[in-house]
Amino acid sequence: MDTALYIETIKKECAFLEKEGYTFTQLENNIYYTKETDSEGFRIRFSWLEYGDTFAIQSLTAEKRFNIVEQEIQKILGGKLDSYYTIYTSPSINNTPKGLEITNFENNTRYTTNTVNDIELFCDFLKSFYESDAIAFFDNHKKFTKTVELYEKLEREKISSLIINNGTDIFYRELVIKNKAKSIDENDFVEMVITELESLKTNSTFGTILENFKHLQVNLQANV
Amino acid sequence: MKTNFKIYLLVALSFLTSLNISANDTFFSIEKSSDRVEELANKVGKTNLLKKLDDLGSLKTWVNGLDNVVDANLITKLDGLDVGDLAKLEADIASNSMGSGLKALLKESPDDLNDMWKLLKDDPKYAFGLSKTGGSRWEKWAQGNFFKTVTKAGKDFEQFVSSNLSVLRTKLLSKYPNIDLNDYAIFEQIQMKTGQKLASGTDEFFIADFVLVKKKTVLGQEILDFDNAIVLETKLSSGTALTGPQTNALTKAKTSSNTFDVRTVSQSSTTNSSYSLGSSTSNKTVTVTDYIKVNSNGVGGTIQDVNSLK
Repeated sequence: MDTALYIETIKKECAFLEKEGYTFTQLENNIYYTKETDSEGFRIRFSWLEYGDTFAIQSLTAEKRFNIVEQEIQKILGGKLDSYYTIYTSPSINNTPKGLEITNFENNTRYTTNTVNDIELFCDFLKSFYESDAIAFFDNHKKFTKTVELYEKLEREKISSLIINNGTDIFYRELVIKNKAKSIDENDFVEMVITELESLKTNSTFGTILENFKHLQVNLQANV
Repeated sequence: MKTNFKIYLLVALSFLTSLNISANDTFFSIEKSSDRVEELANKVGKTNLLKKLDDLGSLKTWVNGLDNVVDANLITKLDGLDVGDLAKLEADIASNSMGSGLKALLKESPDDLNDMWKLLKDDPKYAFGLSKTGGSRWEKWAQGNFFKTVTKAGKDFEQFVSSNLSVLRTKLLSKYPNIDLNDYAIFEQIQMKTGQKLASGTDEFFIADFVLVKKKTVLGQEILDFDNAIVLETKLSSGTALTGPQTNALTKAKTSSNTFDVRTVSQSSTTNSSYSLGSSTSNKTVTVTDYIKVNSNGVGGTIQDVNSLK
């Protein structure tokens, strides 16, 4: 199997998403199905790695963007708004496609496909994930207030099970959510993050996060 | 009769000497002799090459059938291969499934002998990566059975490592106790710029099989410390050398300017679906603090050793 056949098969087998109003996009080794409204964005995505004829599919997720949150982050990080998403869900580990070899990692699952038939099996699985999990997830997070409510109930260690953390941006997202929801602990959160990052700022990664965080806070205060 | 003949000869000679020999006549005469010299040189080149192929039957038969003039460049390139490479080429040419396709590609573009065939033999996995980004010539090779066969073992080993991270973790810990795979987010097949320029003026890059980025828990959240990354390269055997771009990357990693620009546009982490590298929303640089070779036993299916090259 080659890349062209792989993508052609994905597009054919996942055509139901286009019928649902999603737009297909391929960006390097990523497939995105996206749908936009004036205030929100929805995305079903996955990526793949190639090992010869084997295509290892991973990172299947359903994501939702609240523009009210992400446009603030976009202001400090740049890029296009449609690159940013706020919350996500992934298939349950207990829900696995039949007939496909799977490998579970810490917070990811890989589906190994070698043939057109394997891709068809993966797309069947994606369809069941969309119909049973993604739609329910989007319904459950129809309103920003509902997402805020669920976020505030989470222990700190569990926050990234709902809020997207790409590795460096979760504090920005939390700050905007707290600000837009007028959370009573917004100032405490700001102080806590700044204190923690100040001690790490000699490292350029943490120094940059700290600078961006402060910048974001200034922007949010200016909006009031 | 004799006297008459002499008279005719003198008349003929005086006629000939009275003719002006044009510049064109001289040019063609020189050109023809130049062609003959070149043809002769080609013939000598092919003869010399054939002398090296006495024990390499398939290669000898193929070279014998090459045209002295049309295939002169290919003959010169073949003559430049060392004994070891000629033996490898003999095996490939003799292959029922790969030989004819390989011969056609080399005849079509003799430069491919060094630019592609040799690179494929030296580092098939790297060549596999180039086939995705290296232009139309690579696309042509990637379609061939030869390419698929040669790259398979290397890619299989890379996949083996990826699917056996617990084995890799044990190997790393036993040799480098400070490197615990569980402390890192793992990204795969990441294109990174070496800081060198290609002849075309574009940025040279290599494809890191694995990039490990150190995780740090801050206020209950895992943050990726892109100042603290390790590159892992998988190789089928301990003797497989780094390619040119990989060597340049290692040299850069050894200096204090060890921060690399990520060329990959967006790649999610193998170990965490949310983490990404190279997108507009995430880090586009990584600082490489170590460069480790992970090698198999020449065949694959096992991780034989890990070695820091830094």
